[in-house]
Amino acid sequence: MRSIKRTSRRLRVPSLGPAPRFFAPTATHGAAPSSSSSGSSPVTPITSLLIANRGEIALRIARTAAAMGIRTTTLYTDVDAKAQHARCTPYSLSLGPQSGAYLDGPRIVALARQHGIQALHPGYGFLSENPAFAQACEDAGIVFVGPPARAMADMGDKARSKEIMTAAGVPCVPGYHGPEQGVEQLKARAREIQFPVLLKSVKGGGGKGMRIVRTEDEFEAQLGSARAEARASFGEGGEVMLVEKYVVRPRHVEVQVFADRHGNCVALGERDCSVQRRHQKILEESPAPVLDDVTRKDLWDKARTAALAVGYVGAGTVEFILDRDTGAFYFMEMNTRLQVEHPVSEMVTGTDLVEWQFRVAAGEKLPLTQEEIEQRIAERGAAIEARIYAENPEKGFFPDSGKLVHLATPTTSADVRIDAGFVEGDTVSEAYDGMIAKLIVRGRDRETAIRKMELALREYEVVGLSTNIEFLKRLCRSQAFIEGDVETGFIDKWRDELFKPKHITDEAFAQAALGLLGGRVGKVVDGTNPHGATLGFGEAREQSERVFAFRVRDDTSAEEGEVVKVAVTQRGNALFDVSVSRPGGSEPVVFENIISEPAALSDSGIKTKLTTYFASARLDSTLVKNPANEDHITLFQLGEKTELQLVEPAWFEEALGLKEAAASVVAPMPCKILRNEVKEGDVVEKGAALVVIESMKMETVIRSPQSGVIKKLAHKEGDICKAGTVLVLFEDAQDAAGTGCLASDERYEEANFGMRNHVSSFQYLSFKNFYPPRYSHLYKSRRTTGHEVKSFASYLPGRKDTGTRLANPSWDRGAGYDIRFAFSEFMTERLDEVTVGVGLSRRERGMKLDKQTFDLISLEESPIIVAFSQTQPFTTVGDFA
Amino acid sequence: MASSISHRAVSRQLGRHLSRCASRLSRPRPPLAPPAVSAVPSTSPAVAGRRTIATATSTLPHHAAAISVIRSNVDTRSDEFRDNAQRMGEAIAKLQDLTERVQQGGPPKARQKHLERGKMLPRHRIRELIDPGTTFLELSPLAGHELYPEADVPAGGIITGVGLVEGVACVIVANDSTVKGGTYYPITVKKHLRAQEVAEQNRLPCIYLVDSGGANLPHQSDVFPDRDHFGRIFYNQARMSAKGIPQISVVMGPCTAGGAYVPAMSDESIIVQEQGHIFLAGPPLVKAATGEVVSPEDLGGGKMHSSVSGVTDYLAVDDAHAIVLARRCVSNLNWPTESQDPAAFAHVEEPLYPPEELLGVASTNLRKPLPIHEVIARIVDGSRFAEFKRDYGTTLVTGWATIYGQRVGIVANNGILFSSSAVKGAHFIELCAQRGIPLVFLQNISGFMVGSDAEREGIAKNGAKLVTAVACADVPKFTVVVGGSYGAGNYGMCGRAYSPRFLWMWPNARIGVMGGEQLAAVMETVGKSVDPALKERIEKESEATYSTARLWDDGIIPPEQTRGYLALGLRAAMGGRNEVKPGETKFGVFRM
Repeated sequence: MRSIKRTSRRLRVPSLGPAPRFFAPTATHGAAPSSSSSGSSPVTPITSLLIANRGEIALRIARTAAAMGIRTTTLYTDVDAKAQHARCTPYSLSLGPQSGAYLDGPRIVALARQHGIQALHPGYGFLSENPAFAQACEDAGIVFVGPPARAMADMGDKARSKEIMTAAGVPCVPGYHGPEQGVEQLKARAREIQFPVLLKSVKGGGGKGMRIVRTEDEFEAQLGSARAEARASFGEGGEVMLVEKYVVRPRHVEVQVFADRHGNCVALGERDCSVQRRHQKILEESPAPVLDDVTRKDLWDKARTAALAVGYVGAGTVEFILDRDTGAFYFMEMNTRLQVEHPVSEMVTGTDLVEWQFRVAAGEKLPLTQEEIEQRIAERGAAIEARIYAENPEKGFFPDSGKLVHLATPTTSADVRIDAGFVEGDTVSEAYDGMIAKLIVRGRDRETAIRKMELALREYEVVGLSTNIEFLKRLCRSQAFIEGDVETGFIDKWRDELFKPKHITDEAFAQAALGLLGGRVGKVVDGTNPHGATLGFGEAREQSERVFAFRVRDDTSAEEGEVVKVAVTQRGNALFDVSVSRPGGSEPVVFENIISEPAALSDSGIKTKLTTYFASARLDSTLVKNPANEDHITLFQLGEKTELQLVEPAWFEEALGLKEAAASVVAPMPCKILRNEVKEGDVVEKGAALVVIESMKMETVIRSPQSGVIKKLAHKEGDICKAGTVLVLFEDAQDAAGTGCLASDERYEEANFGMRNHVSSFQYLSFKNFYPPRYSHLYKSRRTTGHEVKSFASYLPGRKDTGTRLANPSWDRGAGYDIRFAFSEFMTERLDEVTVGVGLSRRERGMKLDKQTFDLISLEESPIIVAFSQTQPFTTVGDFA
Repeated sequence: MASSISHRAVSRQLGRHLSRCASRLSRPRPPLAPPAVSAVPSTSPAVAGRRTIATATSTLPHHAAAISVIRSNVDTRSDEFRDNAQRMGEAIAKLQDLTERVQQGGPPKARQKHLERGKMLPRHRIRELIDPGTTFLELSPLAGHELYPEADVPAGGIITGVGLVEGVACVIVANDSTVKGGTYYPITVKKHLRAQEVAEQNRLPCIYLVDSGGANLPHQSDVFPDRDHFGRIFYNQARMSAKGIPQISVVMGPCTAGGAYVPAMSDESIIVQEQGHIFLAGPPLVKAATGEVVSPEDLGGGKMHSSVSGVTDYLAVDDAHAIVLARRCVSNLNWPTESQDPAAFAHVEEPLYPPEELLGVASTNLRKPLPIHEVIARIVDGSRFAEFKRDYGTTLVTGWATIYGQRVGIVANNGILFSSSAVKGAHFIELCAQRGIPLVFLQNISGFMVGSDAEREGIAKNGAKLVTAVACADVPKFTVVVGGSYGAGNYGMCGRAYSPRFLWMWPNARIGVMGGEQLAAVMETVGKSVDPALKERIEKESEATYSTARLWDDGIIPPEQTRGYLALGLRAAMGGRNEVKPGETKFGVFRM
């Protein structure tokens, strides 16, 4: 009886050969049981596997594979050679130097065959939704752990998928998904659908090639820009657009479905992924909040119908757009893969979906019936996932990369799960996605889950790159989110609350100073040492007071740029007086006789853990110095992260030769000029080779003492020079202001310091799809000072330490916002979008320019000049990147 | 020279001593071993008769520790304790006040001017120079106090002491140019030389933070000509350098004439640009002598000396930069650091009794006896003291203990020195010298016993044995004057003349050939009329502040910090490149 009941709860498809794709069950319940299907195909367990992916998902898959006794092989590119995923299996194969090699289908198939691997799991992204690849696997006799190529192809084509869905009775967003691609034709369709409409590339995804058109007037321009972007992102065919109704207050709700080869299909609950930034999810949860049961069940049914309509097998996600105003939902698309956020569904259903994937791929039936799943969902409460990204929310969620200098993660349990691809010491490369980890938490209800998530996030500590952890914490504390008032525009809607600057407490500064002192003292401060105590009569301050000046460099803080002075006097072994003076002349806050016990966590002294007993409470902190720049320190306490910078001593600049820029370079000894390494007019960085001389049969390279522009080369090859002869003359500092490297942080801070609470005016430029030779990454300008911007410097995110900069930029901004700037080198391929702007204290204002709206005067020769004019004032750039 | 002591006082002290002995004997001793019960029933009745002994746990390491713990009898609620504590508190408050004033350095105007020039105050320089979290062992902070009628010279115009720099214990000598332009008064010279003596004896690298106008000309006759005058500074530098004791100078101000030799005689020199100047004669003198008009910077500035003359090796932008350079120099000395010293990481037990109780234990009235075991119990690790010859010559207490893990031999007065005590002391010092154990003297001595009985016993030759042992023992010696330091007792207990590595005084301490009262009595006896002011003057000259102002000691210390001072002194004497070899001492003739 049980088996009958079980099958009866699954959606069934008559097993007449391959599943007919247009079959739509008329009822969820009571489909006729079929006894023949169970024995129709033999079960072939998977015994060896190749994971054609990287990062956390590769690790995730390998974990289940290991539990199931599957011999697993991973792949790696040179960048990833030491990545965790490549090291988690004994067998790991190299894909060579190309960072994009995970997309090299033929090569991967060949490797699988060569090593006699039975099955291949594509993970998500990369080749996971490539029907040709799935087909290639099948043709090569490799089990592709995923849906059939055909189903993938059907769902991958947006227009086609909508046709199929409409035929199957799944509601779709009103729109046009046809072949008429003329501007006027599309505009007419848009008019039919009624504005606002959405333009999307048929090949689109991840927000690329997508534009919202609110009125008819802007239709043409937006179409052009969407097409340009889509072509750039997806290549040939990307410019084919579809037009859809634009839902003003949409929610993103998706249903996890699973189908086997026997025609069964179940829904493992839905996920709400409405909280997004830059059209990418950051929080996903199940069950979806504020959703009545009828709609919920309807969503499930429609999702299963959709899957069955394309003869789906394996794990898939049917995405719906839910109109918050009307409650109606429409089919958006089906993701024919395991998704990033699948752990949410695993948590609420108590399943291992990767295990299911392997079992279904082996030919087994689904392990649970719909009824059993629903029972579990009813018992298991709510789950929520937060994606931890290397990005800077305060700077428009700008991606970051770098080394994980310090990484502390929450304690995991049955209800707190971390899927991560990195450990401390790893480098988050700019070559791949910046997701550091996924944190998944389950609670008995949604509110408990959110609270647990917030607590777990407080345990998360990352130093070395920017992350969205602080932002996620604020999201979890947001009342609107707790109430389930979610929509895809959530972050914009609650921007003020979510980006409300925080206040750094006096205790935090005290802890930073104590930690630094303790970190340097190391083993000296403990009971076994006579050092530390104050000796003799007189003032303890005179004996041991040390002053630390911290500059707040925390984007999330109201005090950013402030310099706070902390004086620490050590009275006894672990006994201190601390006084904290903030700018503005207010009385310093004094903590007397506080007991602080610092302990260096690492041999290098990079990390210090300290416990301090203030008069009223105990405070545990962790202090981490960035080894690349020990002036940069990060403090964690009470689940809050504070970033500070030690103010450099006054002598630093001069001693390091940063301040004094010599206007010329002279020969240090009698010599012969072997060659000039630069040309007149060249822009050079400090330390660059200028001239090679020969003296005493030794070659010596004369390096630039400063960054600047070469005005004159005094000698040519073969000239004999006396000691002290001028070899190279630089442009005057004034003239050289446009060389990009002179806007030091120091000066910026000075400027900003005086203008606190006013407009801290800084300019930025950013470039999208700006391809330098090696790094395909967004470029971000460095802040510069003042209104009269003569220069800017730019660096590669994640390579701040090397300080790679664009050379020779100069830009003028006159009345009417005529902007022109030029730069040389690097620029080799394309420049698709430019954002220009001014930063108001924390709000990014500016404008985005598409390729159509600016002129690339030259691509081949340097300097390259980009010019445009803009008469509109700057507006808030929603997703400034 | 022995002081005469009133008979009454002696008998009272003796009586007190005897009653203490009696009370100690009647006190229950800690059990030698925990009571043990044999698990195996004995079969032989003979064995059964001695059962508890035969079956006792064999000697365990903690047994020795158990019998070494000093049991304190201090009653903190007694009137005597409270009275002592109050009087000591008053003395401390005075010193506290005085020291705070001295720490300010020169007059406010001078300090203001100093800071306006972008210079750091000398104490600030030292704070930044030493390792964070470490303690600067300052020497004689009250030097020069009320010494010159015409001038106030706080701290003698120079700050000296031992501090850890990059883990290396160094002697730091810093001129205070806010005090009379940092010129050398006689006491300044003496303090500078004393710091060098400390460096030489303890093999400590020297760092000179130079900021001085040179010799104080009105005092030139007391500063320039004699052996232990200005010239000795450079003699010491050369001799120490020859012994491999590094000499580093940081020129942070003027360095004129003789002073120019401080950096010039150093192994490495750092100079602050547009602030430090080194020249044999300054611009005015040059103009007078040769007619040459030259700016100080061109004549002897940092840039010139670092790039042209080579007098200095490193050019610093400012004081802070110079200090960083100095610290870097020390890190390149290839000198053993404290963290390499295993003793620095030994497990250390604090004394069982709060050291603050010493304030109530010690009395400002030196006629009252000071129970020295109570003092030892508040200085040594775990209050454990392995007493040697406990019941013999009991007025001198001897024994071994550890201070922050460093084993020491303690010689402490507990009454007048008798022949037996002196001989016992000599015996104990010989043991420590034989074993290479440093000695700590806790001085509270009114003198050797006088009288016909004592003389017939040979107190003179027995006292001489103690003095010989103290003088010859070739191990580091440390002296703390916890009470009186009178007469030949001062010699036998390692007074200043016996070159202890450090000598400190408690606020209640007094030092003199004899008490003022006794001195007056002796004068009267020999038939001299006594100036009524004499007694008062002698009393004043016996005070600790008088002594410390003249550098007869290395500073007055709060009694409760005695342990800390000794620990740092021991580190300085035993760490680094120091080597204390057992059995190196060659003693002179002990008259038997």
